Amino acid sequence: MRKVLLLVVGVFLVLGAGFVWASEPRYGGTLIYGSAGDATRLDPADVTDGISITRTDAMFEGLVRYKPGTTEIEPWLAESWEVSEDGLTFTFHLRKGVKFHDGTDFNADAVVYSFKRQFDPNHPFHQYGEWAYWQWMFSYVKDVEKVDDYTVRITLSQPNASFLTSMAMFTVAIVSPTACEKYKGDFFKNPVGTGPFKFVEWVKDDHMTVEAFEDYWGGRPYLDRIIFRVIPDPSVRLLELEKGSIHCMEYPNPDDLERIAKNPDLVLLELPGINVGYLAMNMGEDTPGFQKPFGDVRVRRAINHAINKKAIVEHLYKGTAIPAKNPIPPTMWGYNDDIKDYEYDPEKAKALLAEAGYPNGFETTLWVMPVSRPYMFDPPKIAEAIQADLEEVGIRANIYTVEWGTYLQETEAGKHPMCLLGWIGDNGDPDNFLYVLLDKDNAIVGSAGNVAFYRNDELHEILIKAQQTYDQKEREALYRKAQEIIHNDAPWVPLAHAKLQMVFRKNVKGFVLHPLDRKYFQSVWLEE
Amino acid sequence: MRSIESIAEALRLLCRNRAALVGLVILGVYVFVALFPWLLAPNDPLKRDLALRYRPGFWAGKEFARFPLGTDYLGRCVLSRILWGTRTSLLVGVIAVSISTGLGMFLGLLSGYFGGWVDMVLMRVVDVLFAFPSILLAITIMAALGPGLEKAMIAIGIVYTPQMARVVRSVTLVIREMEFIEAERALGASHARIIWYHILPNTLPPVVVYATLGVAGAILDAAALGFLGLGAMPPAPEWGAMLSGSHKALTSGAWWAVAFPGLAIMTAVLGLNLLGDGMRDLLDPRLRM
Repeated sequence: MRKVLLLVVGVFLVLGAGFVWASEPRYGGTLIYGSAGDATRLDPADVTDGISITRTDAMFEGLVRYKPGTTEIEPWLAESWEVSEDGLTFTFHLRKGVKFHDGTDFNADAVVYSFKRQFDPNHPFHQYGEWAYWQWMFSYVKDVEKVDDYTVRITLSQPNASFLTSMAMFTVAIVSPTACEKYKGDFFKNPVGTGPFKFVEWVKDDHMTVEAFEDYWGGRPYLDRIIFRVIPDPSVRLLELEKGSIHCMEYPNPDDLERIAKNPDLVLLELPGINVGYLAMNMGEDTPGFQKPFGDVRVRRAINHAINKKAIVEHLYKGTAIPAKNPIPPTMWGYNDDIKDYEYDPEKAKALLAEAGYPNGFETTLWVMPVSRPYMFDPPKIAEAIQADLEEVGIRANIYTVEWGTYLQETEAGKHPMCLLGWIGDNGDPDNFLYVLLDKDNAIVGSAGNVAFYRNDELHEILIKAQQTYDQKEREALYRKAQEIIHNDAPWVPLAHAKLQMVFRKNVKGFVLHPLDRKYFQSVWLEE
Repeated sequence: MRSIESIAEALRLLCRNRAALVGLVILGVYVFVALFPWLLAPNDPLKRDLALRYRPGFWAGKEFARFPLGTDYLGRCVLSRILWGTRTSLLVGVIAVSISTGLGMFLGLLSGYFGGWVDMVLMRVVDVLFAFPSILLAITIMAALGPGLEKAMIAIGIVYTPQMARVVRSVTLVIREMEFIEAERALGASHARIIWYHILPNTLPPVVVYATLGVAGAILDAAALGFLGLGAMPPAPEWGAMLSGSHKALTSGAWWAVAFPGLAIMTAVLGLNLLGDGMRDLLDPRLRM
């Protein structure tokens, strides 16, 4: 018995020693990151897509940040904060001794500048950006003032329960006022922040380089340099990774996972993502794409019954996703698991269509985005599968696609009868999904986040109430109710919540996937 | 031209040219397939079964014989889709070339016969069209017209018009100066009569050659447009769209979903090119001793 125990202890010691030896980080080296596309801009307050955010994450930081791998927040450029009784005033105490890449000091002035440029039309920098996310997520912020050099006070016009978690978003990262004044409209090509890496160069549609910031307040990062290379084709990305000309790649093709698993040089990291891919049916009678059948809840339910979601997730997502029944993913608090999804049943769908007065179905158009997204790897194929499912119950759907930028604009303007789209969470709060994507406030023709143009007053009241209460229990109950209402009205066919996946070469260490797809590079290092 | 007495004679001459004969046979097979795809296709080209995605074909063993060339990304029979796609591709090729031949001959005859400012204006327009690479021009036209198979035919037809116009014009320029045209004119024939009865028939030999080669080019361009998602709309089977649907699967090993449509395009284009070359040898007196 004792011998066995000794052996076990011995094995543990050896393993432990090996573990310590393996996890000793090493300084130096260049990481080459295989990116699926190029950034649009490099000003964190003026980007909306994941690819740009990955780049700005290397260079910018906010007052708080998400703990690695979670959506909980931790103090970052602010060391602590207080909230007033009424929940309207937040006072942040800033970290001292933090420097921007251009050598200037981080202080209260920089915080006020970074925020005010986004919402104050009289601010000298306001004219240089569109500040879309500020409108979507921070319009309730009334003012930002400097109390002293290292204290900032933010006042809200109404209480907002997700304010603190939203403060970890890229939108409110702190930029160098000196650099903003210097570069003006070109700041987005010459980004200067406080992050662990500083900007070197950006060659559009080819690569972007950042290098270690020696004076970083948290200590110099391990890597000397990161080069983000643009490689749009997932097969080419994988071939380059196998060859070793890049160290990691984003968005692998689900069909390639078997091949990746077989390769001993590659490591696949995955995590349930906070996202949703969905099919929206246009209910807005005031939109150009509106078709009468979609105004009838029976038709919308019929379509929910007609689509074989399970087969799509199993064979087209290849197990890299779970079927969705609610707009929010099950890993998010407030998820209503009691909701029973519309089961796949073409007969029932036909009966519902007949009841609604369309026994022979009808003709419509299904819009599909042309690009691969984290929540939908290959939208055109999913559209074809849906088209065939609909055909079986008599609905003849033509597939229509346009270039990605135009696609977003035209769906926001409601030119589609049905469209595929998705959402990646920004702050891990249900409000960020339900209010942005399904509230009537965001069903404005021309700038809709709610592309189903679904307008329900009861839902609206619940969502606003949930925004303004700080009681977590109550918020949870409200969001559960909201999901019930949405399920009954069926403005969408929720399709899937995809896993986040990244593939690395074996020698890349210290990378932690984040459920909101944020990327922290300071902990990453390369083994020799 | 005058030495060919009949179609039979033409075919006999063509058969003497091995390469052209091969081209003719390939084309014959394709035309047959395009006319009767249902006789040959083992499965419904639109029937999909997600559980059967990317299954290999007959080479993998007996149990895979149901889909002789495997299945694609939605579990549809690759062979059946290629066979039905033949109809789409040939149709696009023939219609697009008919458009370009009609337009090109009209422009070329006018330009070559009348000369002067008519020639000047028309040829500068043709020059402008020539300035763009053909596929780029086709994409631009598609962007204006919107996606769809009929629109792809129109776009490709327009793209091939300048070539045809140039060929017809150069022949017209030569014929116009010939004595029999002068004689006709002296007899008081109208311009329309001269063009229709005397010049047009003489431009036909090069037009036939260019049209045959043009069909090959048009099939390639239609496939390219389909690959870019601008041509045939899903779920219609089309070779280019089949390629673009499955090319990402190359790394995961499903080569059949890409290789066979590619092979179909290649063979069709090869056949048409061989035939076109053969006909040129036949119809060009300078090459035929």
